[in-house]
Amino acid sequence: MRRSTLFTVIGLTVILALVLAACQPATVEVTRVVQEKVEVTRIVAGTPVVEVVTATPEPQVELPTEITMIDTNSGANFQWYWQNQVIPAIEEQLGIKVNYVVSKEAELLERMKAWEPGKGDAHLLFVKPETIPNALDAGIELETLYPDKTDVIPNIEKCPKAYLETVLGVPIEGKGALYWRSQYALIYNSEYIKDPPTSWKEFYERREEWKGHIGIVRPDAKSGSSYRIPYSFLNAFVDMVDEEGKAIPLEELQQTQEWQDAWAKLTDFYTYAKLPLPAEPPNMFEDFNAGDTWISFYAMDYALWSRHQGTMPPTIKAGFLEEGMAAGSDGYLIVPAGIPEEYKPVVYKVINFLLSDDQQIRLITTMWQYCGTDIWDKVPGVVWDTIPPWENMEPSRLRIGNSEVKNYIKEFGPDLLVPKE
Amino acid sequence: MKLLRPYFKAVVNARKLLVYTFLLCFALLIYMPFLMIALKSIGRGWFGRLWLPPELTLDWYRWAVEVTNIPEITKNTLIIAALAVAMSTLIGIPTGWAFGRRKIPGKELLMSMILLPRMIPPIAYALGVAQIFYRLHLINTHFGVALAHVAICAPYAILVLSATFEGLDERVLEAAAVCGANPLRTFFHVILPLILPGILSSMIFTFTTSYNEFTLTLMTYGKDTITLPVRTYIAMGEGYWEVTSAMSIILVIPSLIVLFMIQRQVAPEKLVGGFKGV
Amino acid sequence: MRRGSELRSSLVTLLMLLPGLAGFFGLFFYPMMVTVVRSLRPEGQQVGWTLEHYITFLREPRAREVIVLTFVLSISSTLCSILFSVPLCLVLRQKLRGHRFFRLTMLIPRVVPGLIGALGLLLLFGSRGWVNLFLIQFVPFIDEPVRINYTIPGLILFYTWLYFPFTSVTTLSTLESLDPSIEEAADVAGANRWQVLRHIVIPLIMPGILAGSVLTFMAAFGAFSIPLVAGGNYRPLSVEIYRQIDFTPARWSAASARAMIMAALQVAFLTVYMRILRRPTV
Repeated sequence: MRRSTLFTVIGLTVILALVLAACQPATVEVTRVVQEKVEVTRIVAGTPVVEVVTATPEPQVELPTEITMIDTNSGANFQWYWQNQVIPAIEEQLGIKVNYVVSKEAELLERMKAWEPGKGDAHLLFVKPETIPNALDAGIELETLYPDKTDVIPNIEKCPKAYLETVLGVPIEGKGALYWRSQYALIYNSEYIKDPPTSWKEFYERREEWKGHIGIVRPDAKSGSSYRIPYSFLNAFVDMVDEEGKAIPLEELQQTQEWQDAWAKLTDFYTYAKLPLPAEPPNMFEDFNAGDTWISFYAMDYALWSRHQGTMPPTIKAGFLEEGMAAGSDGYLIVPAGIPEEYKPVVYKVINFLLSDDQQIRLITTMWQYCGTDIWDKVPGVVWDTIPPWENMEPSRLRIGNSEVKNYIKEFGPDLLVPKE
Repeated sequence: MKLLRPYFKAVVNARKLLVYTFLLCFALLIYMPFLMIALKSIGRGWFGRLWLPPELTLDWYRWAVEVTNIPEITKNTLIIAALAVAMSTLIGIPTGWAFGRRKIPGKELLMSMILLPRMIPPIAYALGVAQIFYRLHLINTHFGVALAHVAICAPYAILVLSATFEGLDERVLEAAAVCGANPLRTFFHVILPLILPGILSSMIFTFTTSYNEFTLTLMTYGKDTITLPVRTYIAMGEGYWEVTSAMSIILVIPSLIVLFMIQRQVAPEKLVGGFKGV
Repeated sequence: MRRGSELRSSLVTLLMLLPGLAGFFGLFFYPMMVTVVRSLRPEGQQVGWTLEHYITFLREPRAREVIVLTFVLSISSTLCSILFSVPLCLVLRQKLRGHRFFRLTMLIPRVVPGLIGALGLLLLFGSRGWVNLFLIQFVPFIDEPVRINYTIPGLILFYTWLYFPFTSVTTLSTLESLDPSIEEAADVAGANRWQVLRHIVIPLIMPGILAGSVLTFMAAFGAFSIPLVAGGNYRPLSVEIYRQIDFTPARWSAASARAMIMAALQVAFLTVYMRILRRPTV
């Protein structure tokens, strides 16, 4: 009896204390305890804390020469490019050492929420477009780069303004700089398909020919292809933004006949896909390689890279769909507001360097990725032998403008679109 | 009787054959998927319709090496795993003893609670972890990352060791006490050899768990403490299986070496003899 | 006097429990409380209390499906692991030639990162993979590729492949620390092999099997990367949690509520499971 009482009392006390601590994470009491512990850990941990500690004295005189950049956008090929081409160039030309670290969006944002103000440890982030609205929604503050910082980042003027104003239909007010533009396109295996469709309407009408061989990623996949495929499809049948480019509210849209027809077609289209729907793009590419999937819609740079490297059949080709093909994971450079002030000028310098003509042309000539800045007249013509010229691509490039539709697809797609087997 | 002997022998042989067939199937089942990854990492243009890749290449390994600083990252991963194993074992022995040999009210419930960190996806409690570690300035230290791993490694140690302690033979302990050994001596000379197989398996689990941990590393790492799984998973992006396969083969080698050494050092047959005399 | 010694013994127990409890509370409990608080907040807010996220999830028609699927997958893979591990351990215990190799083999699925393991399995069992190539070429009456990937039996097979080492390693270690003299005694007493196994060995290694199967169960219950890439249309609770985070804006409260439901289910199941198996039988 006594033993269990002892256990209960001690257990309850500890639990109560921790509940209180969790409800109010920033109470004075907690921080005082922490202060004491910091002393201890400094002795134990030795050097690694130095970065945070030494950064504070005389910010005016000495600027840091080492920054940490976190990348949540690049795949293996671009990780290689960053580490072997870009970062050595920054060190050589600016004298700034960039520590290149990779991470994932959800984890990165969670970590940033835990930052103590002004002590953030990731100075420059390279992210997917959706990360910017996600970060802003999570209450993480980002520096406004355009137009506030045009004096220190003059090259940002060359980025197209529309890309700095909105992302996926959500205003971002210049909180990110556009580093590259990625493009989705029709991807097909010419071994099975001799005359690919040239428009979404044709694709839909000829769906019977490819029944069971169309690759469509699940609408609840983590990959952006989950919504880019259905959004581009819908776009061919219904206008989701008005003439001025403003999103039409979903409720209003759902009343229209066009939307209902388009959604019915989309639902029908999914039943012609390879089943079960690939959960993530890697599954779709395995299906491609196995010959189960013949035709799909995916990031052009990945497909071309894979064909070039021999990781996809040499018969893989990319094609246009005229009503519009979604923009892919455009690369944005963002600067969190919660980092030490003295780091910011250095980070701006790095961003300006990354947006310089020289770096942007290297990007397109080495990696065949469209530049983030509009400097098309300076790009050597040979590039267009490998990838479609920008002036041909741009008219069919579809920037997702209606975030409500996108969210609707992600939320209700699994129930409404995924065919039951 | 003599007549029956060949039959008898045949039965014994058939038994052996059966055992070996079973082991062969087991090995095949385990190694085949692994072999697929290995083939993928050295093959080019292999799209599954053939038994073997049409073209062999070391390009993916070149990529893997160029994308990551393998020696540095392997070192980080191993240091962190070693620290996590040491801490979890130190936590696991006393707690496992208490669970295994003592009456505790609501033992099962308490045990399931202690196992919770291992069962819930770490992303669900990642924010709290990051908050603690930022406050204690443990971010980007080997010790800090290892400490975060302890949250999910210790449950293995506790559970496995409690089962080991539970299985201990009471008589051995009594015998030691009768012989007048003091508690410390009893522990090192009698109990420790007996629970070594348990410690060994708990070390195997904690090591592999820490070695492959991803989310908790992402919450606590920094530029100096990048680990192999972080590189491997993220290099994959939305494809790039070949490069990632090469990376994982590289990732598997050090951990297999370590596991092999653990097994060698604590060879079970050495142990069995150890306590027989007691 | 008796009171005093009892108190002392319970204090010793507590002291020994302390490292584990300290680790649990220090490293996990605070983060978990943050999650609990988050699951009770209205979405995206720092103030206010609500049970809405729990109620909405439990009311969803999908919720039951998801929970049942999670249990089916984890329980059946735990059972498969036990059925597979016990004979394997009994065989390995005999120290046949090359048993070291098989011991190391047993660990392979644990050292391969989960996602990559899933890739290997998907390739092997795919419609053009080795298994189907073999079946079509060498087994009569099979001309069509057999579908294994993205089916429930296939998923159970994958789970078992990945998580059986927990059961087998633990079982083997208990088997190894078993005193051989007990069996010898039984042998002398005239029991046959099967009887020895059934009445002596199995009950003695039960704690090991139990601990191992608990490890397998919890790994299978919380598995994320396997069902994500190899699950096809079957998406258990852990994937469901990630899905909430994947929305724009991320639904952390909804995800936390699901995590809490998952935690409650696991604790309830494991408590009952351990109670049942720990009861002295035979």
